[in-house]
Amino acid sequence: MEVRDGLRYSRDHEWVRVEGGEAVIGITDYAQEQLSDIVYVELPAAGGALRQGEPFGSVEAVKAVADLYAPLSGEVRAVNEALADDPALVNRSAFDDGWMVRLAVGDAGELDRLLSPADYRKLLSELEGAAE
Amino acid sequence: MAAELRRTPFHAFHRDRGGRLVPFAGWEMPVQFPGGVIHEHLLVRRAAGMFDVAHMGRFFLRGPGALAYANRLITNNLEKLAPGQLLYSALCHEQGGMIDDLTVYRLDEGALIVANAANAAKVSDWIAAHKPAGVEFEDATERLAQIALQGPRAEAVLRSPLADAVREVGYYRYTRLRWEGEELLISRNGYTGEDGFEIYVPAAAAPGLWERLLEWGAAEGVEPIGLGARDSLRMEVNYALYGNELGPDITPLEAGLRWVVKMKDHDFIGREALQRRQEAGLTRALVGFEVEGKRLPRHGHPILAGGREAGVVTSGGYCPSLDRGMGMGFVTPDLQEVGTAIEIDARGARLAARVVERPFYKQGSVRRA
Repeated sequence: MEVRDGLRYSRDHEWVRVEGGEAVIGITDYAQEQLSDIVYVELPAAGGALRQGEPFGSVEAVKAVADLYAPLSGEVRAVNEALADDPALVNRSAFDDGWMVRLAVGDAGELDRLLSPADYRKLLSELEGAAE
Repeated sequence: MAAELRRTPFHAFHRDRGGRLVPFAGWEMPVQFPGGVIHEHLLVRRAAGMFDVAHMGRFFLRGPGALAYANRLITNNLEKLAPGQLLYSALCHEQGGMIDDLTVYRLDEGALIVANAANAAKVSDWIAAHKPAGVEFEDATERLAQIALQGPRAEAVLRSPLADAVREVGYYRYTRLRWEGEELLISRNGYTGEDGFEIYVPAAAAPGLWERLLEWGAAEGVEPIGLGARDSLRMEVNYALYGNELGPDITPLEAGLRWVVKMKDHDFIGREALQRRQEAGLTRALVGFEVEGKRLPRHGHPILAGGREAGVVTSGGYCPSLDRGMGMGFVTPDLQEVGTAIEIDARGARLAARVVERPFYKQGSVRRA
């Protein structure tokens, strides 16, 4: 299971890649593996506003539905249109082709509340330990 | 502390193949393998797959009076069967609600009753509590294992001597044979809407047979299938699941199982209650529906009609062969006609839906004769 360096992570298993004043958001490899078989991703329209910690969409998998929680606040600049036709992109490429939204970052200070790759790895090992 | 989970004889194979093992009815079972639920589902529709169903309860009733006793327990009529046949039935309590749904084999020596894993202890207690003296009861859940081989290519997977033995075996019939010194019982039935078999094998020989079936099935692409696809396959052909469509407060009449309730010339526990219910008229009906859009209905979602709550989703989700969200649920009887518009309350989102014909998936290879 991949935890990619250079990204920030939420405790709800979203990742954030900061690119200048924008942030790209998706769900982690762990999240897609737990959900498996994703059949629909519901995303907000471009122009919509996200608030950190609040739901902004959902992922329907064969087994379950999961809410998406905004790891950062900001205005949606773009959504990944490819997911409409091929939601399983999130399963195949959670950190790349399976990205979900691109935001104009509202408050860069919010990044401090997110986890580093090392801390996210630690969270996952705790979750795995709890599952044993 | 949680009790130790039970393991079937196939447990080590599941682990080695990367099966995602989860607690299920007291057993540790694979919910899926690395290919995923959709892949496994479509493989069974296209070719064949193997299911570990050794977690189900297997109970024998033997001796004089065994057949009559088994028949007194169940709503379907076992005495209409010849040895070599089996049937599907409800098991009801006195009030007509369901304790379980069962597969019952008419044997020369009595009956083999196969129960859901989640209900096995309850069924075993029920059988033991009502059993007349002279009828022998065996819980064979540990002594025997059970494999389901399902799919249009299921028969093509089998080799001698199994292939020869099943060739003339029709739907809901079984045969017994020797394989490598072990007695097998093989029936043609299943829970997927496809042709296929349930194979009963002594537990010690079960891993060997599992490996052999995988080997024979390699050319057809046969793989083990987890509980996830078992559920989606049954939902797509509208087979009921205990805990969803069936339960202690639901009669088989309401759950679409009127066809396995034989009240004429057949006395059984719960008959009077079911007769009364039938005469009084049913207050709810089980329907199948499809939803518009891509959001999925799920077990427990309220069903609405005219803005008011009118029922509940019993099973819902994505149907891989049909590539859409569908479900089943109980509604008030006025909503059961095909074409009726309903709504599903999916955690606040209203999904437009309409009642459709069952089964949802009609191209299955299951033999009906």
